[in-house]
Amino acid sequence: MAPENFVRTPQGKELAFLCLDLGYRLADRVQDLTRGQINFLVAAYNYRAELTSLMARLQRDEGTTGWVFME
Amino acid sequence: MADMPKQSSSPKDSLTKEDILAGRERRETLHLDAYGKVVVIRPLTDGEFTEVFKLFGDVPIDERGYPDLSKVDVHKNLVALRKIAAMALIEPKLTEEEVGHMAFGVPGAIAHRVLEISGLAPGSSDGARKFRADAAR
Repeated sequence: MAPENFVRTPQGKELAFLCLDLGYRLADRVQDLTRGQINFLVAAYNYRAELTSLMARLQRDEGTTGWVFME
Repeated sequence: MADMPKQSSSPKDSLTKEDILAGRERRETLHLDAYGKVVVIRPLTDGEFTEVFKLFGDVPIDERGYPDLSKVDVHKNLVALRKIAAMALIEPKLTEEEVGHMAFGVPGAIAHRVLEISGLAPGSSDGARKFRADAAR
């Protein structure tokens, strides 16, 4: 499964939340990360940015309520 | 060239939570036909690959964004493949020199699988390839 698809799965979201919000470290040092871990972190960050941008766009429209449906 | 190693298990190439959490602790068993035995390898980290690629100076990158070892000096290429195999071998633990004494083609075959499971060579996963191609755009 591609990293950008994996971050949309429940497991991917959970892991992204742990890493991006709770500071869970996949390795002690940056140079100890594998390419797979780096690809996951980049994909998780991109997905987070995508959602943040979507929410910001929805909130700009005054008087409307935006809903984001997720799996 | 020796027979390519057989992978021990099925869809290891698919990205999983376990792989991400395991990182460098991930283990994969390969069957080496040349010896009729198995070896255990692990993926290398970015820091370890940086150390290997220092041997080459500037590493040529192919159109998909992967290091193109076929375009580097043959001797340096062999040294790098031995180094990668030696670093990644968990069982048995071998030095670079000992890896160099393995049957012809075996160190290269091990190293290529290490590159694949480390996400630095095609064949690792369709998803990873697509991800890299997208990122390169």
